Amino acid sequence: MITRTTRQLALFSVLIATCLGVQLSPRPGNVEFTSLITFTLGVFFGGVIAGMFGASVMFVNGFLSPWGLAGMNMPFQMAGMIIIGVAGGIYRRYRTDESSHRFCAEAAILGAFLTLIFDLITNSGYAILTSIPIFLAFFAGMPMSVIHVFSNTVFFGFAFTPLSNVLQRFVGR
Amino acid sequence: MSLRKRTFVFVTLALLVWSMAATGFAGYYYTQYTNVKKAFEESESLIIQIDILMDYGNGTRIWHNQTMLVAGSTVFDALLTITNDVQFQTSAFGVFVTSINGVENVAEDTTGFAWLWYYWDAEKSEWTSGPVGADQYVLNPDGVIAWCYEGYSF
Repeated sequence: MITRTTRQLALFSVLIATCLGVQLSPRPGNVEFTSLITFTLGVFFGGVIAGMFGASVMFVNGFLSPWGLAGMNMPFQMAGMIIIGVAGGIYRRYRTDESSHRFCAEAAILGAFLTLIFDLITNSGYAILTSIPIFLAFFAGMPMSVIHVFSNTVFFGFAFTPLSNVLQRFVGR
Repeated sequence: MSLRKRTFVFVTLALLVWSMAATGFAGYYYTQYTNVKKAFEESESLIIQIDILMDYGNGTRIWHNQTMLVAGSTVFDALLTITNDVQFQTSAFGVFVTSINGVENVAEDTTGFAWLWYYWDAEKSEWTSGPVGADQYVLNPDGVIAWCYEGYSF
């Protein structure tokens, strides 16, 4: 059984509120912080917690997003975010503090890769729901994917380390 | 995981992202290209190209070759495409052009000068006088027409 301190539960609540605040605000398409926060939570608290966190955010986002109701694509968005959380949980095993620059570069590459996987999953969902070829959905969504991948590469590269430092102080590790 | 192996893993991951993104972009532009090409080919059937001769009757002849018009356009539409300076009268028989580019019809008792239109009959290889008003004759693709300022008498 997973047990969490009140302090940690408060942290999750604040982070969920933060993610939802960003997700539900008018913003450039596909520019979001949920992936970064979900991944970082995975690094600190494990893939299960992070996966649940990401899925919860995407569940609410699916109904209230300013870009419209996600509809049946919501499960695919949740699955994509769960993968990002689990990836964070896996990455915690291999994390190293040898070089901050190297660490940032790794985080940026992981951010790009995971975002691309997320887009592949959601585009596949869209293709299945609308009965169009998957590769066509992927190609059609490419400009938005590039924005998504680029923004998350920057966020992971520049914000993962400071966010990790804050969380490290918070959890006292 | 050793540093070397770790480097290899992340470089491979970066190359994978790059190759997937590049493939996606190539696919995106290919689908855009095929869509635009298809739309262009469809629009081609809606466009006709005709040659128009303007004969001012004083030796001045000006060709407006490969003038692009929407399919279904009339001889009068073609005239309005190449010049805005057109005056005309309408009647039950159709449009009667009274002036083009400042050159006006002249009518006296039994003679005069007027703008008349012709089409090129490819089978007979000769100009044929327009059988109806200019606004009632629908142009064929690759048609050739002439607006001539010429004298008449009766």
